[in-house]
Amino acid sequence: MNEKMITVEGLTKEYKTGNVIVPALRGVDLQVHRGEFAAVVGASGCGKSTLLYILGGMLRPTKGSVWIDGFDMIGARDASRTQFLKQNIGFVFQRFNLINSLNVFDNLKISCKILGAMNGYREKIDEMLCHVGIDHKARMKPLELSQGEQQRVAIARALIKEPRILLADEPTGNLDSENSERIVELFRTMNRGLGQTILMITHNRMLADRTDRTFEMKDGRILSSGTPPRQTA
Amino acid sequence: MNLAVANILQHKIRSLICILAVCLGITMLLILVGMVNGSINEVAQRIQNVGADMVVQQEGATNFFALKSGVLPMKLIKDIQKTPNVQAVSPVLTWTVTFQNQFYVVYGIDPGQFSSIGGELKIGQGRHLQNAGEIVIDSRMAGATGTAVGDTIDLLGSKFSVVGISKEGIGARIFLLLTELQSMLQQENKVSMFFVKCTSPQYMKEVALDIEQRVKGVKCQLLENFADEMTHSMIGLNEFMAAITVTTLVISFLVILLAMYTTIMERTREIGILKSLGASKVFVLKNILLESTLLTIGGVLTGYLLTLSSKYYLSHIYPLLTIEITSYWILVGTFLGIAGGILGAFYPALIAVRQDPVKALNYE
Repeated sequence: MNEKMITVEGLTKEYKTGNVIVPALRGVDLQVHRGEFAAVVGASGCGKSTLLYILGGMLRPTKGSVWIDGFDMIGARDASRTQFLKQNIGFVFQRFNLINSLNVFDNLKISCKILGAMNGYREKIDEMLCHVGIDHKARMKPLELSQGEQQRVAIARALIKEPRILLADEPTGNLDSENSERIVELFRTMNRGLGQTILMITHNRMLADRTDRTFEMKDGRILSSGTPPRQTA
Repeated sequence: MNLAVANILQHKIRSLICILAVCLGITMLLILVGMVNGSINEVAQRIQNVGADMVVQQEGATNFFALKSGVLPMKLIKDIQKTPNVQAVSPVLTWTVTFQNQFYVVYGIDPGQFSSIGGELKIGQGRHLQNAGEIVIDSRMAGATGTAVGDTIDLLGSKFSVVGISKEGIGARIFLLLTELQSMLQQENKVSMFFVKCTSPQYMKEVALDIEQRVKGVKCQLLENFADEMTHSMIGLNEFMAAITVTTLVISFLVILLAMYTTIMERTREIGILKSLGASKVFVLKNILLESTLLTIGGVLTGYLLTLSSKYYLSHIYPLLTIEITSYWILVGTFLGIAGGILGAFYPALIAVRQDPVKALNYE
């Protein structure tokens, strides 16, 4: 459990708006261990999502380093970073980001296709949809589902490629409290069942308290990290 | 379902417009080229079907016999007949007339000499030409104009009695006696050309050279490759064909470019999603190009259907119009449509590939 999965050192990200430089991250240091379910909490605009996108290789930092399971996310070339992202990292977004022209089944299938893992994909998809409790809606289009159901499809899509790390950006941001509970419970089940490392961005303190560890973020810095009270108990 | 297919089905109106535009480009290409080639080849084929080995014309004359009339003296027939290995010669005077608003070529012939070169008119109904005031028309003109044996028609300001209907495909559509046409046109002892039959096809080139040496101011045109030479002799035809071809390519290119550019803008977020799933640039590129290829294939296939329907419709409206759709031009149309589509999709695809995934994911 104490093996490092994510290591972030001195991460800085500045956005340029005309001549004005806006710092989003100001030297973030962070470590997440293998199999850990961690949360980054903080107010809107504190840099949580920027941190997540950099961890996922979708955004380049101004300074600093990111190592994921020994892979240098910043120094690597585009092609190998894309390859690493494809094989190891799953994303779940606040706005679900499903492809609305494809049905639920095909949304998962495209993930298999991108990974190049088409052997036995039908069974795998059926199993995964069953796992997230959405198997009876496999032929429906995303917009025909409730928001909670859409998020479960998004999670299934992220998990179908069996990533070692799941990065979730406000996954419950668009959901009511009941659905939010279900999603976090689902994350917990995946984390325990499949041993996946999960880093969840949230501004909901109560949900963050359901994880193994929380990082408090403010103004582009990690202020503190610790084990939530419930976990300690 | 494949992402490209799903996107085509998701945006039905856009896909339909795209397919329709490519379809119109292909139809325009095939019908226009088909009309030009059909008309040229049909005329050329009719000349070749006369059965002669060559035609003797005034030097510098075009292959469009209808564009000139009596320019050669009739007496040249003797010099041509004296040429070794010449079996038969048939003088012909050509003219053009309009009947029922349609343009026709008329041959003034001597029936005996015309059949001696192999150009025997196969009379299906009625009889051969015998006297002045008589004409023979071919079956296609008879069908198109509703003319029958025994009818009287006005040509060149005179009334003619239709005495026979010949099988279509030989020389012109209207035949009358050479002497009568010469008299009507006040071109006595003048002809437009001489059809020549050799004793054996092996002497054709030799005979042609011999005639050109014996008779000053004429040229001999062998009829074996007449269609090709007729096409090449037409000034501006190749440029016209090239213009239609390029227009088709440009239409296909612009339509797909516009459609795919709009699509990429609409699907910015989707491209961000694919990238967040780890899709490579090649994967994104392939999907966009596949979508545009499917659209253009749809356009090309619909274009063929519309071409066939248009051909059928035009043939009914204008029975004398020949539209020739060859496999060569079908292949050219397919290539142009698909190439235009792929080229048109390439730039939007490159924009998609270069999109910043984070901006794309947050695109509204």
